[in-house]
Amino acid sequence: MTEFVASLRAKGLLDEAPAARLDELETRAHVPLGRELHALLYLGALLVLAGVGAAVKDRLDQIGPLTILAALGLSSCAGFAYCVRAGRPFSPARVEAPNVAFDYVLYLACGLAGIFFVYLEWKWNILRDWWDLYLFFSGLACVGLAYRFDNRLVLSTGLVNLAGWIGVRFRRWDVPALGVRAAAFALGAALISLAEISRRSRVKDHFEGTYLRFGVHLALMSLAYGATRLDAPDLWLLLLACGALGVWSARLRRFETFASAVVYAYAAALISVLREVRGQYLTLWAVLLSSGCVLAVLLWARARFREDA
Amino acid sequence: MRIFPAELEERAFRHARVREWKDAGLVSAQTAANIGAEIGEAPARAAWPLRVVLFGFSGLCLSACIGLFTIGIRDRTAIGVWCLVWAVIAVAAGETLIRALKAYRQGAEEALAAAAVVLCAFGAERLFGGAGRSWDFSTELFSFALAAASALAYARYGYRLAAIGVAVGLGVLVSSSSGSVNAARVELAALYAALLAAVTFWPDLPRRARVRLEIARFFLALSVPLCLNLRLERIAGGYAYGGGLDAFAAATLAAIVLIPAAVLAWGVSSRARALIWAGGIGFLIALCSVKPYLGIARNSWDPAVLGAALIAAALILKRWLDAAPAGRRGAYSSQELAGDRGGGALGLLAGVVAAAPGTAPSGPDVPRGQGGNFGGGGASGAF
Repeated sequence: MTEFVASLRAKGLLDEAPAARLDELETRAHVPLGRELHALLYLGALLVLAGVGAAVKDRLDQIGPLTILAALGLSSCAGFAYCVRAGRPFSPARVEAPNVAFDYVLYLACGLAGIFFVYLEWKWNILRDWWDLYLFFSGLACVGLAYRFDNRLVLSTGLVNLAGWIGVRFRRWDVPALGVRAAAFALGAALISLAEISRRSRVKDHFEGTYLRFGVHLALMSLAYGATRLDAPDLWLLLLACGALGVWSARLRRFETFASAVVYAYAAALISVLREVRGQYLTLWAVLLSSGCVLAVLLWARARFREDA
Repeated sequence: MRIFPAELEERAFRHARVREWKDAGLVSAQTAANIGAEIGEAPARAAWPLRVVLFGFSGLCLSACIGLFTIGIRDRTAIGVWCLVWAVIAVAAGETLIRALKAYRQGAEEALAAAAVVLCAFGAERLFGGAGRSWDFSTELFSFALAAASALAYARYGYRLAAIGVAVGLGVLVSSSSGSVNAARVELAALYAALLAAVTFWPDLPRRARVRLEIARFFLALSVPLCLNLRLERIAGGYAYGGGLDAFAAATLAAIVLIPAAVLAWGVSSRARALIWAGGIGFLIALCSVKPYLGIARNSWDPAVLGAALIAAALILKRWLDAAPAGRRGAYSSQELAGDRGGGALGLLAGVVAAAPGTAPSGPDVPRGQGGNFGGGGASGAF
């Protein structure tokens, strides 16, 4: 037994069984390969989707459309059927996957269904100018499936699809009040709200991190895009949003969100200030003072967040 | 030499172990807190997101400071002297932070140490390079100073980044002093193999130092076949080996397949995850390089075939492990610990890959007459 584990066992801080298990792991008498198996399955699923997408795109003329659609449709349906048959019942709490490959089968089925619909639209232009509805509905479907089968990969896919739909649809409408950036900010804010709702309601509360990460970056990026001048209202809106996020994340001890808010605010403010500043000395002083201030804020936050930072 | 007392390093190492146990679900939060209290006060360290941010902003602060003092100076010697002066200031500031704030791994003091290393190397190059000497001499001087300063930084602070700096500095030194590109490849591979052996078999290293150097072992083991791979530069758009499959190319092809396999076997037999990962990734890269080596055109479905093979390999490995008594083959099992499933950035990448085919279909206008597809009497689309 390693000296450390043995001393903890002798002082009664560890029971016999956990001490034996820890000792096996520390001395490498037991090497669990769960992480490596997941890495293989994850990389495999990514490569399969990338390869199928590329093959369908490159070999359209050599493979008949019905063959492509049948192969994609059947394999996707087989994946969904397997998940429905093997999946555990829904629960608001975390549901463990029935086996190691389950999450990746669902992810592959969703990805193949996406390629199926893209090919359908490419070939026959069914929805024409409204093709982005595929993104919208597949986004909603992925989010629904993520809740049903407790799958964060599929949840991420759904959120990316919804963000893509916002980008396509609102650019096409081209209404100033409903511009892409406003819509992206609204989606980001909605995702942050969903993170809070997940945490409070305890319905899939482990999805909180995914919602929060997407939401924070989407909302802040949409504001940061135009925040490049001191007289731009976007800059002040961004600083306001970063301040609000900073206060909220400090209260909840979410350091990653806090750091994101600080970095976005710093970058936008510095770029805006540097546009007004003339001369190398002033520029360097601006960088020095601003980064010094940020360091002070982060060190203050470090003391406040303690274990989480 | 080491600024941190051995007792503090051991305490930090034990706290880190307990945090890992807690994250892996092996001990409860309460048990971890009790063990932490028993170990003693935890050294002031930051979690990695804060470390990265503090590292970045400290580097920015220091760069701006140096800029304020050196702006407008054009003389090489003056720049070199200023760099060395600032290296000393950075070291003094870092050590003050470590002593005054009892900082152990906080990011800011690491940035100051890293900056001191780079400033030393740059200062040495400005002072002793140039003035009619060749570009190669300047590169050799810079890389030698970088490796030496990194080695000193590792001995003083024990930072992993410093260990990687030693490998990078020596690598640049060897490649810039080689006679030809092919010789440089072989010498680099030999250098990294020697460094890997040194890191692995260095006598009397405490366990905490061995665990800390696992990341260096991973990069060194991965670098050996990468240095010998003649087809990687094409991806980066740089130098491309144009000799076809001659004797040298055939030898490197054999090496890039056999070396990762040997590293994988070494990792499995010594139960070292760093080597298992390095061998596995190296072997995958070798598989992807075989077609370019042999001059065979890639197919668009190749990634899908490789992906299916990886999934099959994972499932076969799991069944094989589970079929053993008590689910163990020797030391290995398919057991999962908490946190083994990817989330965060991996989820985002998965989302982007799965959603990518769904963006902007730009298909043919309807109707365009695709031969038999649209009742064209069986004529081809090109008709």
